[in-house]
Amino acid sequence: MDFAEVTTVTALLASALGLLAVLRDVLSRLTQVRIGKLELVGEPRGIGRSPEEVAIEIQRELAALSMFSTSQYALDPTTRAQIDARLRDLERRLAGFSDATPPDLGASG
Amino acid sequence: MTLQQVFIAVVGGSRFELSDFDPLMHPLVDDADVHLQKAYDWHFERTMTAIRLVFGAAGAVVLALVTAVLKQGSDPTGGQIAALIASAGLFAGIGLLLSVRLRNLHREYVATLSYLERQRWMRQVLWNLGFG
Repeated sequence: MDFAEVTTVTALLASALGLLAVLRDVLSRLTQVRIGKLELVGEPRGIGRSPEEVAIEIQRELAALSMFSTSQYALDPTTRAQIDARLRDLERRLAGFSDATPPDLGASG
Repeated sequence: MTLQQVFIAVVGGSRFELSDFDPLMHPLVDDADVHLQKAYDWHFERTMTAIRLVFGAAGAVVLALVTAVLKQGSDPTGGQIAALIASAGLFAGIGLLLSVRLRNLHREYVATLSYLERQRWMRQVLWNLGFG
């Protein structure tokens, strides 16, 4: 094999490996995408239920919000709006439940 | 899955999931924001290394093509030249994709930081009430 042949084979192999790595990464990212609206885990309000029930429900909802990828949360306006609305709702519930004041972090959401 | 979601998945800054930062949301963890920044710093460095690598590879392929054309001996065939140009283009394309992803990283970092702090506040309140 002369220089041109060796160079061509090496370059093609290396770029094919690079392409495979990118395709694998893209497929992996696509499997991270969560589709559909966030389902409400519990009741909208904690009226008539014990503090323990409300606390467990809020904890479950907090955990459920974390199923999204950070890029979907940051870059997809629909997902961002859904999660931020749920966070605001949980903050309100928790503020009413404990007299604590939510941090002023979600004003833009 | 919408086209927009596919696009975001491809050009998104990282492959982090919000749940990756669950341990940082615990009320007993100090300086969660610093740890989050560290995770993004590491990701930035890894991506920058990959960008330098693929652009370097693209340059090396072009250099090899020029050398093959200029050196004495048998000239590279048209197919070989096309394959080398395609290979260099592919490397450069991968580098560009990684650069676009890096450009989106700061938006992800800020959004994740806000999410983390809000989750931490709620978990802190629950913790203070004895529901940790």
